[in-house]
Amino acid sequence: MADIITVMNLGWRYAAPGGGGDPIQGLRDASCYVQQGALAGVIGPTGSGKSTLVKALAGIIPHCTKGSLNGYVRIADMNVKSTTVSDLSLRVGYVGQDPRAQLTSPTVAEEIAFPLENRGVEPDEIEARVDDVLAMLHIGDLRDRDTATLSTGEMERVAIGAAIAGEPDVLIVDEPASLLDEEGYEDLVNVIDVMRRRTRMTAVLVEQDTRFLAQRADAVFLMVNGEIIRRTTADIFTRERSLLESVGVIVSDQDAMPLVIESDEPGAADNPAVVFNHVHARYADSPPSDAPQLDDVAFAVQQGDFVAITGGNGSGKSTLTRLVNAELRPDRGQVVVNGIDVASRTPVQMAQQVAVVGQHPADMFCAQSVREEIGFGPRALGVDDDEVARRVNEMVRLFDLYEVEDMPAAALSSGEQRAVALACALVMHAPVLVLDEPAAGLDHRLKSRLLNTVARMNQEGTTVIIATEDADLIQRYCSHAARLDQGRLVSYGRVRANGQRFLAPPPVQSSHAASDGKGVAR
Amino acid sequence: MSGQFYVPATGWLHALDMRVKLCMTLVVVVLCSVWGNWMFLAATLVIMHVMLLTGHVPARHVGRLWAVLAPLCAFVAVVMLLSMNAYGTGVLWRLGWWRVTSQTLMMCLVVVLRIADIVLALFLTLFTTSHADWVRGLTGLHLPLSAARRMARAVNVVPQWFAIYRERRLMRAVRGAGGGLAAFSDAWTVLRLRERRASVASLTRGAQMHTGSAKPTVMRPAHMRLMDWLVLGIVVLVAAGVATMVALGW
Repeated sequence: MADIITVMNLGWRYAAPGGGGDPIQGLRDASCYVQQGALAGVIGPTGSGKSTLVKALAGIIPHCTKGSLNGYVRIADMNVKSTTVSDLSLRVGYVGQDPRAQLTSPTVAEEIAFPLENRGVEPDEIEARVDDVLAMLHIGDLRDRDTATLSTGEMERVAIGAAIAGEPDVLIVDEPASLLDEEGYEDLVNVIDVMRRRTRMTAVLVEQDTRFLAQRADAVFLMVNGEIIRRTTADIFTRERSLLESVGVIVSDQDAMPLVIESDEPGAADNPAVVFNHVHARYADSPPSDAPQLDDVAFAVQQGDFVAITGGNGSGKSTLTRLVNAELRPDRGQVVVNGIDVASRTPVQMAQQVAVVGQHPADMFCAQSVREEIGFGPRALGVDDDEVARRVNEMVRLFDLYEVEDMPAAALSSGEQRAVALACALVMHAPVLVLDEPAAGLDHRLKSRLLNTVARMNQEGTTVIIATEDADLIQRYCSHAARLDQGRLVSYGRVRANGQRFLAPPPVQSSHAASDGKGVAR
Repeated sequence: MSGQFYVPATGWLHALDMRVKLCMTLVVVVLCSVWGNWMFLAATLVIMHVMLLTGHVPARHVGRLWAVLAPLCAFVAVVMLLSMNAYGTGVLWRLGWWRVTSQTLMMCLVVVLRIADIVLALFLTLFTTSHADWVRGLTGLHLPLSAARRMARAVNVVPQWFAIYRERRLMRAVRGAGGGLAAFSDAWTVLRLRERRASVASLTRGAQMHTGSAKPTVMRPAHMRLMDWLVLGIVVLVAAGVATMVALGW
């Protein structure tokens, strides 16, 4: 069978950020071949060049990115160097890591229709195709929704819909598992299966979660440090498991153990850090006919707990986290943090109580360098310069940011950005830490490193609230979990551990803290 | 804030063809600019408010518009009253060198009503026309699809900037930084970045694709209903009537 993707000796250097400094090597002498109709997986640790490789397949590199390219890329009989991105899109569907950056239209239907309109498809056919795609991805109820009001997972589904609408010969999806819930991922898998059978579509998936690839991939490319070091089949997950684990790629033997939440009384916390008191929230731009983002959610988080807020795409996880620091105000109900009614405070005032890491770390960056970024918050709160410098140095050491401390945070890789965002939150020394999908898209080693740091802070008394769908993370780190479904609380209670619970070493100065029940694995 | 002027609703104005609304807006702007009859200007203002009300545009959006427009009109009126000191003979009020005449007051009234009419006419279209309607209508006027999309996006640059500004200010606030001045320059940078990303995203979805003889299409092409022709007819009649009255020196 002919190769539909040919990559030979591909090298790419990103132009230096801000015009100064050295270019950043993205790819080194990468070569791979994918047969038509195959399912190919690209795996590797964070920052290994996976996204760079697939951007080169879609033509975004070199046509829309500053840098220098050498080598050869051919996809669907088109030479990437000499074919525009638009013309490549005739046969190549691409979904990037950040779906927000890929949505071009105000409504979901328009977004999916967009590629078909560009192809000159007849209006009746466009309508029919849009309905088909919405049905395949089970997002028919989102048809007329404003794309700005979608959750990140919903945006990912819509972006996938727009990519498959034109029935591409090659579908490239970058890290869908980090954004989609179980149902959404299953829909993607089904779509890929159907289209591979029907049109011999080739699929290229970049993934950290390797379960699907281990079962179904025809070709697997392992990337480390910009190079493809293995070009093989799914056998790699059994034959070279130790190599994969050594570079941070997790290999699951079986499906993840289901999360079990022991039912507790949601309001029973004798020393609550955060109380959600029958909160009801609806975004101002949501149509009145849509369900509210949160509907009568009530539970309390004990001081020192590590609580997960979990649920499918669009269940209200991110919305709930945004209530804690007054970023968002509930329409009804009350949120109380350490005895303070959040409604009586501004976000600036709440910054002393609550430190937040949002789902999209790049959105929070305001400064010119990583050091300034980390020092931004304490400086804004009036901490003196010496103390700010001390805290910044501590965070740079903790997250090993020495090599990038003078670079703008926006120019870093996704994993480094998440580390900087977490450093910006921890440096505030707030009693409550709120994290929204902090480990999305990170390799296992980096994920463990960041979350182990958070767990140690929790052991030292910080209350942690984390919004995540990662059942393994919840079972490993969290003491309690609240499950949401369509904005409603369906269960709250202690997490039943899966036997691989993270055990933070006791702090040196207070060995008795391990016995007071605060934040230590039970 | 949604980052667009469009206010979702299900009134008759929303259903009206964008080309008819554009025509209506242009007619109102031209007529109000040309004819300084205060009764005509006041009546036009009242009629447009009735249209917005019957079109189910929420009153709070019209209120927000007036929250900006009213101070602007007041400022213009005060500047005119102070600067047109020597105009007119029917003195109504005098304070030292400064006098207010009936002619000055009438001129202030006409200018303020003109400003209000023109702004309301623009927003009557902006509030009730979605991005898809703009694209549909502009392609119906035989603009190429890419140009129509660019214009549809350009229409909402100002609310987009404000939405990003509020976002940036909030991001700084949750990190403990008050004050909004730094967020101004942030907002411009972020707006340019998002425009660039949207442009790249459009390319990956086929914008500017070479399709040979096949021309780009729109999912729901513009189509004039009976109601659209009726309203267009009324607009043309009113324009003709007003033009006649102006010609007759009314």
